[in-house]
Amino acid sequence: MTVGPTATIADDEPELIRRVAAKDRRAFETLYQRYAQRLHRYLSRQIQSAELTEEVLDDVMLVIWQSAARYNGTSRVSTWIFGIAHHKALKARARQASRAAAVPLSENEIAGDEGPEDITMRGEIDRLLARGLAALSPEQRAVVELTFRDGCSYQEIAEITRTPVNTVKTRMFHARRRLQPLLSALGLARGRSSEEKQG
Amino acid sequence: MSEDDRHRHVAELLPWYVNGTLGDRDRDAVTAHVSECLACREELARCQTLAATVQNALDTAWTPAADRLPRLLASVELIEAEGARRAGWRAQWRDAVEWLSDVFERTPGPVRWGFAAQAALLVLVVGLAFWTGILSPPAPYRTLAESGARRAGEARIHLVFAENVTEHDIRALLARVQGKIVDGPSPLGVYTVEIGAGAPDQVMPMVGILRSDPKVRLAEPLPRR
Repeated sequence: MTVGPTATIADDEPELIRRVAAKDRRAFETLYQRYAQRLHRYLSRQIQSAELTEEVLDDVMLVIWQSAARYNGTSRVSTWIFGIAHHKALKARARQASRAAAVPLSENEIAGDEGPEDITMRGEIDRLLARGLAALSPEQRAVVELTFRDGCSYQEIAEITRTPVNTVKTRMFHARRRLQPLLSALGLARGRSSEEKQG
Repeated sequence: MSEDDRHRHVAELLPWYVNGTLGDRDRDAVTAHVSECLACREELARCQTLAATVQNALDTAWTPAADRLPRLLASVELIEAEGARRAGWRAQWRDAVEWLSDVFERTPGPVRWGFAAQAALLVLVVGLAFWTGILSPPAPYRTLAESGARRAGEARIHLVFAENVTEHDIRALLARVQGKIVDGPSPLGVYTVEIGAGAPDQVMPMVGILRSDPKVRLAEPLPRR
């Protein structure tokens, strides 16, 4: 499984990493072009500072350049790369002077002032989702993102985040509980939307 | 496994059942349990909603700026230049150690230990000389014409020029920041340049001038001494 639901199976990636380890600049450029956007998306959700995200992305790529020889092929290249990104994101978050505390949002906070009947627009759903994800701790958000956005198995997430498998499952469990109000709002919105289509 | 344990186990696995990454055994267990557990079927539906929402969420489109990759590659060159310099020192040190151990092994026993004692004495004398030098450092020697080793307000940066840059371009660029090359180019084309920034807060604007010029691949300030 390659991280990323839309990614094709990249059989050539171990070879690409081997060439990077041999200091092949062209291979490094290819790797950058393949991963920059996906890493940026993942890091931006973890760090939530545009400037710092780009710095950390560069750091991740430089670590890949310096330690490509240490990739031993026991995991997917994408899992190895996301593991580096996760570690860098953790350090960046620790450096951030002021970090907003992850406070669980009530149902009203997640849904805002609108009732479920108003939530039919795509943008509205995205806004609700962003607020819901923001209510999670960074660790919970990482598990949700890696599962549903990047299509990782729980074993891969454990490897990326360097935590036991049971911790991954527990984080997901608590994230789902926190997102319950959001899911209720979305469920009602979708139900109403399909009723409108049928009517 | 009790019914409660099985229920909890399946409930934990639902997100990965939805994203299709469970192994055969786990997947079969979830399929079997969900077919007869209403609570898990409802939870599965919620997970599918969450998965679809997360996957379909609109991301703020981000594409790397045009100069992002060239700057990254320039940083790679700096890393490699530094690595090559360190590797050079390591190789010289290794050669010296090998030469010494070779000489040591080829020397007859009594003479060998005589040499070792002399070397130890030499190390001791040099160490003492260094120690006393630290305790009372001599005033730096300066000629009358010298105005100071490094003027206050001067800062050093690492510069990598584009491949098609001419000597005239380099002079024009340096003039813009009142810079002069004090070292380089390294084998990978890295120059050390002293720029005439009047105050510490003027360094970055000058670096900004250099970075905005297409003939510069990298401009990075070095820490002030």
